[in-house]
Amino acid sequence: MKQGTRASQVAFVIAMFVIGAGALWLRLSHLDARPMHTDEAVHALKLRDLLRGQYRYDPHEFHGPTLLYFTLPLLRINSASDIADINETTLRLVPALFGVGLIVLLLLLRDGLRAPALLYAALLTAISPAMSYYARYYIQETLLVFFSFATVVALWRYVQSGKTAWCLVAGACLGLMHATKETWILSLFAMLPATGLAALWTRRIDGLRVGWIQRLKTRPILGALALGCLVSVLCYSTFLRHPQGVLDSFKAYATYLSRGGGDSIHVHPWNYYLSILAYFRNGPGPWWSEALILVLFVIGALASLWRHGTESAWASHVAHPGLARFLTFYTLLLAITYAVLPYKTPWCLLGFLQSGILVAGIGALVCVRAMPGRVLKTAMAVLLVAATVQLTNQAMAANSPRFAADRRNPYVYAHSSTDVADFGRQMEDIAASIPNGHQMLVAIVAPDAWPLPWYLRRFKNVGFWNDANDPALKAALPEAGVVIASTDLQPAVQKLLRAAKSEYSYQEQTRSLRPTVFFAANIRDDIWQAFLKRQETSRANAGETP
Amino acid sequence: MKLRRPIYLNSAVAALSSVVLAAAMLSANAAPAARKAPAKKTPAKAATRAPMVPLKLALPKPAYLGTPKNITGTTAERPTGKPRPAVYVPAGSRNVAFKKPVTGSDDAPIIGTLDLITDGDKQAVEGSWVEFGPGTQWVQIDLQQPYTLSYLVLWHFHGEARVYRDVVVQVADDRDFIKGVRTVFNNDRDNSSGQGLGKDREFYESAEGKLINMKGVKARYVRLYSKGNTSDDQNHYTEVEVYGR
Repeated sequence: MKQGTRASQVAFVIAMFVIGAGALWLRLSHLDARPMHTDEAVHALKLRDLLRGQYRYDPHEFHGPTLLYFTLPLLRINSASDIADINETTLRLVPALFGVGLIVLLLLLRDGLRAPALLYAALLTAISPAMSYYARYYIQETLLVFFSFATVVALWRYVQSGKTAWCLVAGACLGLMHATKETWILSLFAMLPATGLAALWTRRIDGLRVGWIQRLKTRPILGALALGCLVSVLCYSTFLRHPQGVLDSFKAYATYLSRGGGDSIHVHPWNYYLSILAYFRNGPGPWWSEALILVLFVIGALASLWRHGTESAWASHVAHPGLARFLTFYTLLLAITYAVLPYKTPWCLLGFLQSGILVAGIGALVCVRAMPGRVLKTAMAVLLVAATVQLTNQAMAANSPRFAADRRNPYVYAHSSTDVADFGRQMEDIAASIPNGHQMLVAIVAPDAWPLPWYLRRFKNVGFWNDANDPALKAALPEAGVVIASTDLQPAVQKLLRAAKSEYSYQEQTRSLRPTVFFAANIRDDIWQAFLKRQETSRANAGETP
Repeated sequence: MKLRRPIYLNSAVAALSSVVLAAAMLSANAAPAARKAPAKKTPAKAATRAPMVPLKLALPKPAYLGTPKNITGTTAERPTGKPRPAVYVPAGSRNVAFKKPVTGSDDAPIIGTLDLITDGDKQAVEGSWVEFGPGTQWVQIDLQQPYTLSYLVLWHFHGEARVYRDVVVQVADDRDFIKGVRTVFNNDRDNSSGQGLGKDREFYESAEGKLINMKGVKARYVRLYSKGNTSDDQNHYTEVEVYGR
């Protein structure tokens, strides 16, 4: 009996390892293939500020600093001192590793959920198209989900073991949640009533005593809160160099509150997240659906809320009803909160999707075991395997170079075009074609040029102007090798170029930042000719014939 | 009493008028790249053999109307949102590509089938276009016999304003494009598709289609290249019409 238990534990760990390895593969393959989203580019440039000792938390934009801090070790490993020395892969490794970390954390819930439910939840976390897609995005969301879940897991371990260390870990994770993104408050405000509702449910519906409340001790909890505050203060003050950041982290709520309810292109209807997850098809190409998770969540939620202690087949598959109910209420409350807020970006769904997946794991177990007879049980298992394979295919497609930035992918949102990445490569080739290389002055005359600053990060002299009438622009233009202009400012820029340097003509290219958002790149003719000559030489060296 | 002009004089006057008229119309209506073509090039020559008639194009429903503000400012050709000024072709010209066999750099496109390119359906809706993967891709139409070609009209995906890269149109006398290869349009400014440096302007896609002056070349095979576009790195073809006789 004991050997059997050990064998099943070993099998469980091996299965989790295999799932984790698969999740890692899915999150790491072709990490640099997708063009940098504007938000990713902004955070990369913030990282440059941090490296130069100029970083300060901004309560109006850019969220908390943990994403940047957790990138620093990867820069060290790459011996990089600036973002010019790294590429997209290095940056995206950070959320990718935290995405896999969500699976590792499940090992700590071994006594809270039944092993098959936990394994299936791990599998869904690994292969969910949304979970895998945004774990490859250099934004804060996956980190926020990780720290939120780590807080829950640490608290679970604390109430199970009574060990103060777990309580302190929970406190530190709470601090990291706060230091990651302002929307941490939504997760916290979902956690607190979910805990209360789970306890109330156990008391009223099951008629049982809520044991874990007695295990809570004041000192460890106060210690945890103090540690959380310390972590948060250190992060927001850039390790005490800018104390104002701490105050700003609270001022930020005014900004985000007004944004959450205000007019914006990010205002979407209440069912926005549901419509992405349930069924999505945009033009010819594949359809996308994570309905498997939604359906299993509903079944898992019903099983969790079922009266415990009865002989019901549903309730008997929930190892610990308190945890299952907490996850159910937490998922529902967080989903409703995000649905009610008019301001929506698709990656915000990760918070409730991750916890919903755990409940879906319970749902899958219920589906199989509640079936009468071996044949139906097997049929249900086969059906689940088939649906899981289909979901895996979707995840692979969503993360493939073909669909990673394609608007037919439901998770592609206001994404940069492949054209801007292509322009970035061309600019690097241009720099390699001329004597002054990356010292060449690049003038950008556009109110919105993101993510171009990322693609021009290796150029030492890049100037930004919002106004074509700026005298400083007029003075700089004669020295500029490449002048980039938004389409509305391009006619004025062309006039200035004609007036500034009559001996040069310019090659004009029509490029795009995002689909249907165009810009003009004016490349000085002598530089363009040098670029063409280098291209020709490269082709000749490669033995290409036209 | 009216004097009758000798018949040879009538013919000469008619021919001269046709040449002048054709040259004037070509000059007024053709794309700027075509404007530079010498007036005595072949469409005009064809006019000496047949009267010129307006080319009637059936345009698809516009997916976006007029000239969106965001595409003004650059030198890429924009849709005008107005009816295109008439262009003239020799009488008897027709779309000789209609329902003709199409081959491509990828015989199994990602979406759609190659026959969609010459099926007459040029709407910007699902089921009307073919999608090829990234990089330089081409489609080739076998006109099944040599024709004297006056114009080609091309629709990539025109559901939104976008610019396709490295658009090159060539004709040849053999299917492998070895004999008699002539380039009639090329906007590949850096020769990244390897068909030579192009001088033609880039253009925004629209329901109006891109009208390309084929300058009276005589050929059986027509090949069109592209290399991604400003929205994504895929290549799409909705319809190609080739007018000739």
